[in-house]
Amino acid sequence: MKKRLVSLLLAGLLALSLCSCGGQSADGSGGNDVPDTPAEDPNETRELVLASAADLVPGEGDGYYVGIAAYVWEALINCDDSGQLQPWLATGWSQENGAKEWTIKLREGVSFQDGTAFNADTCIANFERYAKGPFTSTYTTISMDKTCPGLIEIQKVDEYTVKFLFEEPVPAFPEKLSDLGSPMYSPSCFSAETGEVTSMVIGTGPYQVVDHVEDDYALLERFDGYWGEPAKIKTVRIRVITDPETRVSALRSEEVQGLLGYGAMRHLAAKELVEEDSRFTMQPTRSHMTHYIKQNGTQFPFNDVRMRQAVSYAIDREQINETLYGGLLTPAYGLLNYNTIYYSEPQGDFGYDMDKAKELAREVLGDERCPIVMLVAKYRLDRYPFQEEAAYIQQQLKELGLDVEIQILETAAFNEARKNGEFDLALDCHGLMSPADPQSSMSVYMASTGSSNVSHLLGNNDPEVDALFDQVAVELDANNRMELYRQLQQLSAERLPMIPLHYDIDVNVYNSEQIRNFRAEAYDGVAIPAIEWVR
Amino acid sequence: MAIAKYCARRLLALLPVLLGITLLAFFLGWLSAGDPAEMVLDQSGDEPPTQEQIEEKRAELGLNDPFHIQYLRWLKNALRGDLGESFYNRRSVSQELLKRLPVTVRLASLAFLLTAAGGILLGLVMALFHGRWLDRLLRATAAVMVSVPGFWLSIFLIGIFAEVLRILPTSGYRGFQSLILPAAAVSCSSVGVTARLTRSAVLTELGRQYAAVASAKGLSGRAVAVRHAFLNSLIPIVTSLGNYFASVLGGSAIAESIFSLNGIGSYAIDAVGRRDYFVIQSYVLLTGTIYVAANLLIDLLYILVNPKIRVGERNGL
Repeated sequence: MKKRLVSLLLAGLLALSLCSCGGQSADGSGGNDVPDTPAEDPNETRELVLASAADLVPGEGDGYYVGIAAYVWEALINCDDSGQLQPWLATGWSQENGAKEWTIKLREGVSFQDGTAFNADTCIANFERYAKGPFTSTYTTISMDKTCPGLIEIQKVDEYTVKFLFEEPVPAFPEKLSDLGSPMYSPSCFSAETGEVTSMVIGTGPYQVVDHVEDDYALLERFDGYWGEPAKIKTVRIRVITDPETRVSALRSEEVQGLLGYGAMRHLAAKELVEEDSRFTMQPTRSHMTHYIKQNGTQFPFNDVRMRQAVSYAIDREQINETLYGGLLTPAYGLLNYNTIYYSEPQGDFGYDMDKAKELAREVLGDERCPIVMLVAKYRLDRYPFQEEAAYIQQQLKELGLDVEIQILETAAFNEARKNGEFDLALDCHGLMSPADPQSSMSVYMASTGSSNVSHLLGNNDPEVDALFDQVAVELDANNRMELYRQLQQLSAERLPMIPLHYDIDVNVYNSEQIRNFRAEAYDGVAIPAIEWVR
Repeated sequence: MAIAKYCARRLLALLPVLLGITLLAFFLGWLSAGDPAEMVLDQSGDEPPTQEQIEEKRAELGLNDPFHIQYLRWLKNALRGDLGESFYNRRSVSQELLKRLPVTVRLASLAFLLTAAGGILLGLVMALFHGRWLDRLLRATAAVMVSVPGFWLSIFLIGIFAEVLRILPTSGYRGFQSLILPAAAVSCSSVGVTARLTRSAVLTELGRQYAAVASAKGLSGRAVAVRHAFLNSLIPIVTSLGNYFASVLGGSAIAESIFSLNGIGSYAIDAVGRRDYFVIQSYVLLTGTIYVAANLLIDLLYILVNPKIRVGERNGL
């Protein structure tokens, strides 16, 4: 009997090992392939596999259909890493008549991946598509009102020149066109009547989607007719791995060569990984995401700026950064994210000061204690240690006389609680919608009529701030605009329309023994066309 | 004939059950916090829609109609085979379920096989070596298997077999290999439960008179246990395995999430988070049907397992 048992056990192990023959080659992973012969170029023969938390091709229901990070489509203007506007499908732009008229010069010799020429006609067709919207998206909404506020008409000047006419000055029109503001698709992939994308997106980018299984993978292949520098690696597979631990395991096991997208890996885990395993390298880059505490400014005690200041002073951002984020983040005191040329460091002493915090809290609360509710959205916990961070904040605020009840809620319940005002603080984060045009990102939260200010009950109503936003909307001079944003940033640090905590980074972890040129670019992604195999 | 009548009666009874559970699920979804229209319009989280836009979307999705109108409309369409569209991507729910069902069925089947084979084998061994060190060791092992959380086991298995040994993939569906780890994680606790149940059932049968008679006649302990006691103990084991199969066929959401398998479990979990009512309704309908069908199958299997059971008899079905 015992011998039979042992035999059965061995047979089982043998069967298991036989089943695993063939390893991971089924998904085309290039990690453990047989070494190439000298004549082969791995960039042509080996498939690069990257992992993402979300599908880069969200498909139907998403206004973009394909994310910008897939390098399938391009916009008229690009905002580079330093926040400067760069030509992309547009080679130049100029304004007249006090920024009521904008002339955009289009790049010649560009074709979409289906052979259609990119010119004034296809450019205008895309703007006509935006006018059919707005189209919601997990990235940002495609809306004509947002991109072309007060548009009168678009004129075709010649084959490669279009002119936009506006009712009111739009000084930041090129900024509004940058990146997500003006996706250019071949008219053959969207409906002229509804503006909805009807098939896989056909863009002008260096890659095209040749295969896609929803929430599983997107297979990109180099577009050989690309107008610019061709992509190095011919075939790229972007796998969707939703679980953060599994993503890291896939990286460690070399099933994937890199992780992309914001929140692809927790900061501390990334730091520990690269420290303990020399195969991996982290290339941290500034993210457009900022972490905030959003207060319910419509009710006591956070309708009082002193209480908001007290909370801000009570939080040791450096301590949180070192303990929970491996020292990778940057403490934030101003609302505007640092990933824009308009960023400025607020002047003054806004750092951790518990004595000052207690003094301010006493002015508001007296000797009373105040129970408050802090919300945390459950879906954020995959990407950030918000639970631990909330627990730390809870401890700190106890010293101010605030008894914090932490509620971790799933998305719908979180939104509902916030909408109904059933909260006092919410630990959250959000991104800078357009690094080149921070006005929309700031005004939605700071301006008294800002949509998020109203719907998230921030309670901001500052005539000085409103006046600054009105000015920046029509200011043509770049230096003056810079100064206006500096003032807004300063006011945000002093009056705390929200309480900023940290400016985030993208960790960008990859296997540097296998690939190189893995660097962040294009909104939550990496510059996929530049990646190549290490030979 | 009697069996056919019995099956027909049971299938007819399916209708009020499905009506009840879909109504309850619809009601709970309708009551729960969150506005699907608002969630569809504010997917980025940075641009809350205006009240006007929300009302427009609600009207478009039919969410302003009274609860009973919404439910009856869904029911009418469901009876015609139209399970509606997702609020988010406007894709047909029935097509999406059909697309995802094969992955779930394969995972459930493999998990079931592991549970049945592993659980019964372990249980038999424990019964055969009742009271000895092997029985004690396997009982402790079964207790551990029941206690280990599925999500922890999943991460552990990935760490060993994918990261260190690199003999199995971490995630995704690329064929049979991709199902081994998730099936092992999903079935672990059920193997423990089945093993203990089998042991208990076999030992009960071994305590009966016929077993003593068989031993007295000269049959070996193993023959008595396997050829007689085990077969007579199948009723509770079949019941347990049948219910287990039905539950795992409803989708193992945690395993599907950790192993990035696009089955119906993860589809349903995403839909619950988004308040995608039609997806939730359809999932409830599907799993309800599976449970009832599984229970019917279990009852029919009783006849096979124990020929003494007859349909319509007082002691039978």
